[in-house]
Amino acid sequence: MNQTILLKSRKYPKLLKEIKYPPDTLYIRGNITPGIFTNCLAVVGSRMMSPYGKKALERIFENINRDITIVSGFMYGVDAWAHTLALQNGMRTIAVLAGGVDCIVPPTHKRLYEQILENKGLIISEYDGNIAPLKWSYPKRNRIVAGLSKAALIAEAALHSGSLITAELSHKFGRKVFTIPGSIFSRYSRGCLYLLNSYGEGVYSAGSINSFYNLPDYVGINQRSPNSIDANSLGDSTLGTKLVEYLKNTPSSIDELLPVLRVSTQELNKAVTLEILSGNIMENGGRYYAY
Amino acid sequence: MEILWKMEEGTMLTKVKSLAFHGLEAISIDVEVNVSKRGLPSFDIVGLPNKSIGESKHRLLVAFGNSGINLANRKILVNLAPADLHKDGSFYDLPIAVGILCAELNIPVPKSSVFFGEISLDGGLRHTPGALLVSLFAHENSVKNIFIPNMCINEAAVVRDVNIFGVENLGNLKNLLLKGIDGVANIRPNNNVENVNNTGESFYPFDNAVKVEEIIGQFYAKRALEICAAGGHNVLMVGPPGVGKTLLAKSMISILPPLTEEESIEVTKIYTLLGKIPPGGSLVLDRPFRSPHHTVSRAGLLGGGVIPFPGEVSLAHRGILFMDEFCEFSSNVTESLRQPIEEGKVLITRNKRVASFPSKFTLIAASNPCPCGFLGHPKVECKCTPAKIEAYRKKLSGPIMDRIDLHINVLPVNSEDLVESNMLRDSGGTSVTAPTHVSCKPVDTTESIRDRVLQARNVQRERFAGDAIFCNAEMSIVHLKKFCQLDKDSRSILNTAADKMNLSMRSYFKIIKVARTIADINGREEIVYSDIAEALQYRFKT
Repeated sequence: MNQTILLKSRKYPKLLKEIKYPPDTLYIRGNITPGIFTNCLAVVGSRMMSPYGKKALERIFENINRDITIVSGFMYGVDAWAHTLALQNGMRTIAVLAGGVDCIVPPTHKRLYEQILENKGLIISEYDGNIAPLKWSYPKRNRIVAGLSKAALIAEAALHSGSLITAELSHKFGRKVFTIPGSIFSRYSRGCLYLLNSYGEGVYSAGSINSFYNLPDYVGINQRSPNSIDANSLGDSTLGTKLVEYLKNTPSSIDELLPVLRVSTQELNKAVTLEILSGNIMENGGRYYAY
Repeated sequence: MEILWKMEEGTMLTKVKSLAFHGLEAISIDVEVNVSKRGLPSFDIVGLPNKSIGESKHRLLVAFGNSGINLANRKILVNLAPADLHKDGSFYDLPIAVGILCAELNIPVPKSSVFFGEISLDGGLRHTPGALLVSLFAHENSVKNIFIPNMCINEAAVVRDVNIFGVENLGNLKNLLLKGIDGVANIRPNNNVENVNNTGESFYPFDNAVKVEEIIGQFYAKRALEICAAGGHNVLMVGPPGVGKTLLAKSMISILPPLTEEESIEVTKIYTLLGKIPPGGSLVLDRPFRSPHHTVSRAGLLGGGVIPFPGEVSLAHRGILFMDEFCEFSSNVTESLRQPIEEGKVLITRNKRVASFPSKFTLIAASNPCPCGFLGHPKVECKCTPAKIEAYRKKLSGPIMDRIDLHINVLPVNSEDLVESNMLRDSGGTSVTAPTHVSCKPVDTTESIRDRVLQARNVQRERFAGDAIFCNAEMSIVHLKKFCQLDKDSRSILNTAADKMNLSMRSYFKIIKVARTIADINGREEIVYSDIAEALQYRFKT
């Protein structure tokens, strides 16, 4: 079931061959479809993804060219979200594991593992079988992520984080590094700030990424899911508008919104639900965000 | 054969009725006392007594001596029948004493009477746990009279059709027996039941209940608790340490409707068995609030023991079981909650008998969002790894969560609100109220919330009159179909939510249940879209 590709093989990804210490053997799960290694973009970031990071990646993926292959490290947070977004948008995605190619770590991502394989994606590792990943194998894995890709997109990264190792490696290999700017209050955007001040290029949409790959922007039809409802058709639309406007600048909890909007808890609960269902705001740990 | 039945000369056998507790059930026990003037002096008790009954002989000999009744040179044998049932408790002192007295004085034991009470060395009767169970036993078994310690008469007098004789000490008992029950004027059945019920005195320390208006902010959580109280739903609160989860749970007591007399008796039965009713006390009038520590064992939570005793779930009967740090409870403990929640009772099988303890409580579970507690905190950064958070959260997804209808995030109160409420107090405000800017409407008080809860409960009682359930939380799918018809808007919202919020079938039904309660609070017969929209705010967020 697993394929083995040796360094000397013609099938070995060309870009990966160029790096200083390419793995001698690549263990691969899934079918290698033509061109899967041509336009790879590494999307990596913190395991502690914030709602902002989540929404920001969603925005980038709106118009990213669908021929780009998303490479990431299969971890929690940004990695998993990048794989998921790729799958949602019908793109191919490659997960590079730090352990053996059959060893699903974290085990909660079993479904994601299967989905990647079902959707023309690949699982890659330099180790075979069920070898568990170790602390040192993660940074080693990062060189494959960086090596496979023409460019890397760093979404949320703390200083001294694994994501910065990937960025550093990409830079060393002569690849392009993109980064998404974050809030100055968050620990997880210090790394991005460092990149912006050094060799990274800030992005707010996929435009510059696509042009780097010489590919056109993806123009999607803004589809609404058939079940979607319009918040304005039900209830007090002015309250909803005020709510979304306020949340855009200040993520808040219900209790923080009450004094601002001056309505009853009951009314506010209703309005918040309707706006969530219309897709205008999102919830995380009791706080509401509109981006 | 007849010769066998002939009493030995100088020997007197008396039979006195008492009882034994197995769980909340009382079993009739015959206390047979044989007093003989012949043979070597001795005092033995047989019939599987435990240590506290075995020691009864020492107490009695001294108590009799101190009351001027000399039992020297007597060979006494006491048999507690049926002899194969384990007996526990110190209340056999009185029946044994009555047996000895009647034998000594050669008088008949009062008919249709049950005796119950512990005797101290000075001959006086001590307060003895379980008096209410004795009068209930008498009532159920058509026993006319009960003799109990004087200090327990308030408690036993809750049962109206039993003659209660409060015994003060052995001298008093002797007079009573000598005169016969009918001739005694000064010891009478306690009939001041009305007084007992109207004292309104709360003797069990539940009075630390917090009023809703004393809690600053947390309007979202308060609204959720109002819904819980109104529909009998269980709730899970997730939030960082120190945000007021415990306080909120305690305030729930104050918005629940008061105990009915029937409920009050149910609760008192459990508390009296454990000796938690103080001398002179009668019914428990407040709803219990129990918060077991997370190291509690399964027996501690559900009850157990050779002679079964009730656990925390039964102590929380008709009240609130608050489980703080829910994720820290061992999983076999939390899993074992399923049956008590589902069936409203705990069955404990011991020694050929099954004891049943009621356990109809509202569960309030509280948890930190992660092991360190600060995930999602606006100011403090969480230091947990995602794997740790995952493992921690796993406990929240077990089958026990099926029984929890509302899930709320409790976040820290804005420091401005805290400051402002302090200022209100300093400037001579009569009570601590929420800051004025919070709402243009007057702040909800405990009373106003409780009124709405009561009204919603009344609606539910009428609705479920023929369905053998009492509140919305107990509705099954059949009831949902019958009582929770959704209009087009509601359905469209719910279906969109199922899609966008990844609602499982189970959460789908839970939301309808909660929406039913919200509609009841608002006094609406039909569920409308705004009820569903509000209910969705209390859904399970994974």
